[in-house]
Amino acid sequence: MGSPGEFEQVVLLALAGIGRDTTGREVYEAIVDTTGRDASVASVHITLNRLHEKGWATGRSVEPPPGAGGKPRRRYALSPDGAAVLAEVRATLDRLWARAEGHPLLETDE
Amino acid sequence: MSSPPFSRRVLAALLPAEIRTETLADLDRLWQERAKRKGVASANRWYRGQLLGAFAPSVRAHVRRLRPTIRRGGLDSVRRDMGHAVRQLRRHPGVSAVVVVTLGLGIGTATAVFSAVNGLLLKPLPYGESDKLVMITSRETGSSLDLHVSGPDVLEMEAEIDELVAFAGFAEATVGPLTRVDRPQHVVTVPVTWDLFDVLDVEMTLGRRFLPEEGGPVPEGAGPRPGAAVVSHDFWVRSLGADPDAVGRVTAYVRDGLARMRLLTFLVQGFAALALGLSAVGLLSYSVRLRRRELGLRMALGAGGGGVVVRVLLEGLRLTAAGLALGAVGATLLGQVLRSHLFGVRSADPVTLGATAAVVLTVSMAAALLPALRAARVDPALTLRSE
Repeated sequence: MGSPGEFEQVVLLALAGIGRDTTGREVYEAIVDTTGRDASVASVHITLNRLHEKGWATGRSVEPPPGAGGKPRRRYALSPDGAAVLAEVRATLDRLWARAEGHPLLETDE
Repeated sequence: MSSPPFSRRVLAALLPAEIRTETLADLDRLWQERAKRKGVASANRWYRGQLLGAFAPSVRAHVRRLRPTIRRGGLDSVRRDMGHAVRQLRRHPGVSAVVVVTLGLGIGTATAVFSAVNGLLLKPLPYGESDKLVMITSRETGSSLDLHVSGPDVLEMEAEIDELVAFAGFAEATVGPLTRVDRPQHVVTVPVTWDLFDVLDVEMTLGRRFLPEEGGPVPEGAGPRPGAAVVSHDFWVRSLGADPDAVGRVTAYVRDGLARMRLLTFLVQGFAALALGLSAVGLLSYSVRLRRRELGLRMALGAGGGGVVVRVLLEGLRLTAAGLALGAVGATLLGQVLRSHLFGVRSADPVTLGATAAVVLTVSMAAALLPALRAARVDPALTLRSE
């Protein structure tokens, strides 16, 4: 299945955070809101399309509501496979964090 | 009020087809919101940032599309495409001939001219401290014609211009018969002042430089002076059999180099490269347009955009290769003509030819990319209907 790249993880987590079918634009806004940094709209769309091709996200075309006009929009959601790779990445990171625990530079005042 | 049109057009060309419409629509809406909130200038800046940000992922997406096409067919597919390209060239002999001849002419001329220019102007002059050399010409007020300086003027300037350390003069080259060699022939001779080689700081391979008593005004009542000559290396090899015992025979080239000429030459070369690139874009676009129907048919039959891009690129490569071959021949021939007129110019400078070939290949591949991407966006239904 391979492992997701950094931006793929960001987009997958944004999809998970939104938790329902969503558009590229909503994913972009979620990323900007959470990270506090601007992202590339094109990158988000390209990544969503790729995640869909890899089976990590579901994608379907949705006709605009009657009367609204416009072209059909693609809506994406996290797929079971996408959730699985996210869990795998998290497990790997957790294991690495567990080993790093106790390093004096990593201690936080709580 | 709408997003900056130029950036939008670049983005439209750049984005992969499957996400183009939606991305552009999102960017338009986000631009409008930003323009309302922070002003048009800020929104435009943001849009340009988005354009820059789209560049790398779009290129990666295009490459990802192409990869399976190349991998699937491997060499077979390339060979098949090459065969197809040859058939296409045969089917449109007129266009192919125009493309090949144009590229050939462009490459041949560029190579030959660059060889000459490189030998004459761009390479530093083969003199010590050549950057401090100046050539003085005279010009009448209001005229743009450079004229020679008379002998007395030179002597006067030598006395008056302190900024110049040393002066030497040479007169116009003349062609005359030379008979005291094995084979009578015409040679180019240049009368010079005795100190020319001192000023140019030219080392003699054999013999010596001129002596003061071999130049300058002839004293009143003195008899004729024995002449002295310095011959070129070419002449020594060609006419004197490279005889090491031939005393008083030297290596020297006389060229004049001026910074202004170099700049001009660079500009001319730049324009030549630009013209070559533009003609390549035009020609390849034309050949793609001729084949719109065929490309549309292929795509209607399920060929991916990536396959079409590879095909068009390969065809461009073929035409360029044919043009290069023709250009190499042209450059060699033209170089020989130039060689007979100019000192120190090799008929076909391999380095220049190689460099030109590399530049032309790069330029034409870049030029082919544009029509190739456009071809990949051909709407099969439209092209088939329009025919």
